[in-house]
Amino acid sequence: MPVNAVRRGISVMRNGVGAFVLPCRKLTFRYCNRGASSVGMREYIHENLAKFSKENPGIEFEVTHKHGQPLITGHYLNGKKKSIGVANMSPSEIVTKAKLLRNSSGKKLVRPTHPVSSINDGPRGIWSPFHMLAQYRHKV
Amino acid sequence: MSIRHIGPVNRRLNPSSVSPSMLLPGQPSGTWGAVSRFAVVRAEASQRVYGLHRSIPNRRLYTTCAPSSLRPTSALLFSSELRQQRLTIPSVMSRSNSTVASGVAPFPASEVAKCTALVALHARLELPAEYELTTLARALNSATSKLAGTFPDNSTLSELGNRLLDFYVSEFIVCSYPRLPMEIIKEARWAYCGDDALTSVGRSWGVEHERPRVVKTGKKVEIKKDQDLIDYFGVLKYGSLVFGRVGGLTEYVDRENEDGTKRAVQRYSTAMSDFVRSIIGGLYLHSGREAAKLFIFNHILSRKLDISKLFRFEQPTRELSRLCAREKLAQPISRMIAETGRSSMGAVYIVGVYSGSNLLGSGEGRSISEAETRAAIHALKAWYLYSPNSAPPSSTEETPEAEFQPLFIDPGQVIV
Repeated sequence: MPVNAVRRGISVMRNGVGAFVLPCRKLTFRYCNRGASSVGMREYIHENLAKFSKENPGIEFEVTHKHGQPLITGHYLNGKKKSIGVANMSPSEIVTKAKLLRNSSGKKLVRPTHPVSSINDGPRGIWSPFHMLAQYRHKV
Repeated sequence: MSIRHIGPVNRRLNPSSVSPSMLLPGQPSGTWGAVSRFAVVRAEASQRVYGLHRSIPNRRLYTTCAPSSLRPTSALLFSSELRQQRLTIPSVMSRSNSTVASGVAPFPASEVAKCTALVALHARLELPAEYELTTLARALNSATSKLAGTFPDNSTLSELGNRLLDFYVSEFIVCSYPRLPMEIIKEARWAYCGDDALTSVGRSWGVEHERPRVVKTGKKVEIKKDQDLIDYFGVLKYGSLVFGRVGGLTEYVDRENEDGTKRAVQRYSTAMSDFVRSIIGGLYLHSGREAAKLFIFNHILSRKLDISKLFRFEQPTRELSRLCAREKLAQPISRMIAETGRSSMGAVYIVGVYSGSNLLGSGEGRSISEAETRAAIHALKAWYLYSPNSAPPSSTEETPEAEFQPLFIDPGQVIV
């Protein structure tokens, strides 16, 4: 066989090229029925949540009753979770936090210290000193 | 607007017996009162032990994304109503896995529409309204699952989806690169629509699956009767391989059905890829060929694959020489284009391979022979990766006025 195939792994997903799937798949709203810190959260669930869930049909919404501080948790396609405590927040602040979780990619927040790598080739190609015109070549 | 409150109900606790003090003080006894009461019921239910499938305890669900035809008429479903409407799991589960086809009942549409994970998945994949939720539930039910004898499984849908996927992916590869050798075509097809690739696709859709459980020695896999069937509709169900301790060693153990027969098992990747194929098969049946094709292009063929990296040549210089002879081109000759540091440790050579005065390819290397080989490889890749950029034949079916143009057909692979 003159040409053999090398296994280089499966194709790589490019979310947004073709189909786009929102990375946030589920949002959990945890509230307490008695706690004063959940006053805003209770109002949010009562007033805003229905509209928010209607705007985001692809997200599964879950409302959990538990004693303690209110919490919003986002579950993402990469298997990670992100939680934001919303104790003592007003409904308008909780709206912002819920949107933040909805728009998040689910990736861990890290400071990018490495050069950005891409799965695509550079449009300009790789620079080669040997393929330059002779007058521009470096003379040793 | 439809908000549905769904969750497992504790049979011991009567929701109507919850004292008014549990309700939120100062709130009207309308919607919020019901929500609050339901929450108390749910908190009790979280104490329950769950069965084989991975269920999330202690929850109530709101979702609003059911297709309009499936939306319940009332905006709110209270726990007491839900109890009456709920399928009783023991009656469903008492049927054996090995029952004949007559024992298979269709998915109950009204119950399936309550599964928030399914409804959200339907919206997330932007499936058309005519794609029924019961078909989606069926796609998640593998032939090896615990519900396979009770509800229809996905084997027919995945078979159809597999053929469609194979056809469109093969057409895409062959029409894009008509000169690719067969080995490369097979590898590219595997990278686009093999089990591993489709598993990655299914996982990127946020589909949850049953987790294999570790079984202790001498203990049977215990199946609880009261698991929440509605939530179970929304996870990928399959007979997963299960580890157990046998004689001091950890190994796969057999799983048994309720009637004592051995249960079929399946790998996760097979089950998940069959689910993705079933989605495509279902789309073809519900919405037609064009919708299925568009879905394949959007979700499968939009993924990145560098086909030029799949090649491995055994005798590139010889193969190039045979290719030139076949195509009646002048025999390829390697010529030095540039070099540096010949007598040093870090010599670099740039060699071009020419057929007559035409440069077929160039390569760089630490030695002359390395550069020569690379040049031949580049020339061969330039030949094999020829892409005429013509529309595939299936594209003419969408527009009746489009005229079919015959495509380029390669004379075949070079024989060394």
